Amino acid sequence: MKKVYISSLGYYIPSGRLSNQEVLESVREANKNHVTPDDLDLLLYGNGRKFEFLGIESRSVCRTEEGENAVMMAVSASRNALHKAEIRADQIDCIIMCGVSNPFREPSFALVLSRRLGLEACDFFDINDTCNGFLKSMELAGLYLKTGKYRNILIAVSENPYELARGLGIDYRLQSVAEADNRFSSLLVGSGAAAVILSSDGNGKELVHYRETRETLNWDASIVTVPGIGFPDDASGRKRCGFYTDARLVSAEVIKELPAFAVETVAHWNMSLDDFKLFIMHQLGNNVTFATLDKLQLDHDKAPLNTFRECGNMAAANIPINLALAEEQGKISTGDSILLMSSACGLSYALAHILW
Amino acid sequence: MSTMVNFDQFKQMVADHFGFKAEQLLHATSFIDDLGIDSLSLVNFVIKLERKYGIKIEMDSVWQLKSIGEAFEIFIQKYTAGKSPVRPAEIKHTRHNTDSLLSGQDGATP
Repeated sequence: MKKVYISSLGYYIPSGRLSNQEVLESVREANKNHVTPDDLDLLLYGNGRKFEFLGIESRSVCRTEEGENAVMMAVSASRNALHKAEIRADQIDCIIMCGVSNPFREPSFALVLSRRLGLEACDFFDINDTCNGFLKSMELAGLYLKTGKYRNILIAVSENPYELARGLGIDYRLQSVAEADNRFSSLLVGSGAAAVILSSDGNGKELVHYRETRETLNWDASIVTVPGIGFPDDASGRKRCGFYTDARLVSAEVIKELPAFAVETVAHWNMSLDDFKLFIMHQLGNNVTFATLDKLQLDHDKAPLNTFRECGNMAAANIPINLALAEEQGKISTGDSILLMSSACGLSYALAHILW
Repeated sequence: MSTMVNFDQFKQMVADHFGFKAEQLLHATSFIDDLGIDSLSLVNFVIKLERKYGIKIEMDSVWQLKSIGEAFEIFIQKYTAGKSPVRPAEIKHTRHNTDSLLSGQDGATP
């Protein structure tokens, strides 16, 4: 069986930043005419204090006037990865595209990306595994590579939730203050893209293990839909607002389940947590990151990458961007084991062991 | 507020906010381990205290809240130190246009 190597990592973080204050101003502006001043005051104060608690200061956003959008970011990150891998575009056998805010229903985003990269003869398709999309794509790519069907696979993710929200007609307006808690997570999102080339030939930077666990009990804890779609009978009607997240439930579940799954999985791999030099975490805020590390009895400096503070939650792009930054900033040395830790809707949890 | 809040009153506020009976709560009762309260819910309670009493509690200290007793001590410390109301307009505004934490704003080389 062939092995799976990371040939290169690329990323693109758009140049715009949206500060907490700017978000609060937008919330105020969108709700000042139908929410009472006292309620609006409380809403803005509470949101501001939660931003501080979570450790977010700004969100990365595209500057559309400079041509930044989901497609442009995907192309830039992919070209970046191709350049670093020192392989020609025509050596890519397959493109797998993932991302929560994928704006394409038809054609696939992967087709668009393939066209923009000038790849006319490769396989391409999108997957949707929400925030776990990148790790799931690595698993799928690994299966292709190990069987020898393909030799080089480009995985790309491009998240631009603001573009999607605009397209869906969703803004900062709340139907009522009661909706505010479940819309709060949408105030934390950021934009960014990443690309990785996985190959069956290489040396070092090996994807050694992948493992995931899934459940469906909390399937509707976090929802992003086209407004007005038909929901299954067991979903609450209050969740039909386009962007909905029960942030308290999600964070509590992740803090409870992810560390336990990590301990079990690392033992399953006949390893210990001490074997890992670096932990790359999904970026949901300080509460989840620090509580997860504390439960694993790990020093916080074991997970030094924190894009959440400046870029917010970039969904499926969080982990590959943070991995690329770790490489760029010299935080990884040859022979280091790295644990990628992902969580997503369902809830589902995925872990990947990279041997650098 | 001119009257001091005692521990029993504080305990009652915790009980009312989270839906417990006050007699269930002790000085050493842990928000997370004993009551199963998640950190975001705890933040909501802190925000409620801040608004009601015109105090400001450092968000970093919420991490350190091991028990109701510790929360009460922090509350009293802030309460007796005097009110420091915070309005939305005063929330710190930070930009990262020139000193980004990321070594490269644009990792791509198109």
